[in-house]
Amino acid sequence: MSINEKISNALELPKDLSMNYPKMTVMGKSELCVENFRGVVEFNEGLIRLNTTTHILKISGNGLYMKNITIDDVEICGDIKSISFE
Amino acid sequence: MKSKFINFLKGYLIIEVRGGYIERFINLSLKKGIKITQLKKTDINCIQLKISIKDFFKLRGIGRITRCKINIAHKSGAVFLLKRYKKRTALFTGVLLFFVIVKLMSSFVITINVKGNNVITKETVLSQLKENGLYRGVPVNKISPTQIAEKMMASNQDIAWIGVTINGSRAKIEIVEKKEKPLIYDDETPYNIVSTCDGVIESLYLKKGFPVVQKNDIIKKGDLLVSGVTDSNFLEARYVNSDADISIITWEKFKSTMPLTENADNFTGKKIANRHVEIAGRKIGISRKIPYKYYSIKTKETKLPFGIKYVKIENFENVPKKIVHKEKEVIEKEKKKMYNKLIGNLNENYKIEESQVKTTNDGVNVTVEVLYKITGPFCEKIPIQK
Repeated sequence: MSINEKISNALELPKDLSMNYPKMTVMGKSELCVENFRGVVEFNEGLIRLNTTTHILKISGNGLYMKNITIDDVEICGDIKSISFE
Repeated sequence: MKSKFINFLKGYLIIEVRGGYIERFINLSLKKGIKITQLKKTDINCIQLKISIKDFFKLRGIGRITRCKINIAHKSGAVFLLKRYKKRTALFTGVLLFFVIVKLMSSFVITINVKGNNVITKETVLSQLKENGLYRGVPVNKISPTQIAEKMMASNQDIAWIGVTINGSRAKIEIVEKKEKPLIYDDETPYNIVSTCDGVIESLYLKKGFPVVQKNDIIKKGDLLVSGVTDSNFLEARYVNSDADISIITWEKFKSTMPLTENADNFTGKKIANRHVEIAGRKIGISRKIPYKYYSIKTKETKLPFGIKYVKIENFENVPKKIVHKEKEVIEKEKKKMYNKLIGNLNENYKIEESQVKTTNDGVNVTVEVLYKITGPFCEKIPIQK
């Protein structure tokens, strides 16, 4: 465990702010919002792979597209089937 | 909704990016701070995205690095619309002119509404307003409503209060008129009652004072009817505020002659109108000749701002026609006229009766002579000088 993690555990700080952990908000089956992401690895209609600070995030589904992208967060829309980490 | 409108104003592009390293293209453009929306994959090596015009110029370098081809699929926004209509100067001048005219028209007083006047006529109010600087066509910013109201109140004694409000190009004027002072006879000063016309006394009910006349007495104008002073040789004079209900009968004669035949207007319905504009005393316009032998003229002037006058002269063809009236109709008409003239000065306390009617007809004219019997309180109070 790093010092940063220890401090944030002791002070109960939210980890997405202190450790830059990715934060995912899933809205039903059709919308996913990922904060603290670090770039697109793969982009297809059926599969999207995103690089985050800790893992690679794999999203599979049908007709996926990105509604809004900025340097920190991405909003993925479409028919989402699964979200997994690699 | 708001952001959509702002996007429309700023303008945006839908572009297609084609190449092998699409993911790299996205990551590089994100690093440059470009905001991408509606990112979709349309083909194996092709994506479609929405981007603002500002950010589009930043994309060029990235396209070269990642060996991607960038094509514009669709342009939309106010900037492109303006560009499309750039050559249509008339359209833009029209839009500009519209706003200029609206601004111009709203900066002048166009209508003046007068409210609350019963005794004072609208024309006198308008003419007085004009003297004080409020009339049709005056610039709104030159008027101060409070000052005009104060001036109006000072100049017109019949106005108790006046309110001047200006809404855009409309001036609203509300008037409260002064009521006439009631006649108050105080008990301290003594009064005589005096007749105001010749006649016969029909009845006299005394309330206070000393009667000089009796019922059925013949009196003349200015005669003393009820005295406020005791007329005694032995006692000191006593002064009283005399009061009485007096009814006096008087007669008035009216005579008028009217021709039986009359030239009446007979408009044929044809007309010719000439219009011209007057600028600084000069007339500009076309005047046509009038082909009618008999015609009557009606002119209408409208004042426009900057001292310009618009004059319209209408010429109606009017061939006079002779009308022969019946004798009975003429007599009835004349009688009505006389009655109206008589009743105009009197209030509801007076009674009017026709006592004698004499008519003569000499073939051309009809003469009507009516004697009216009027009953009422023809008297007034006059203070006594001690």
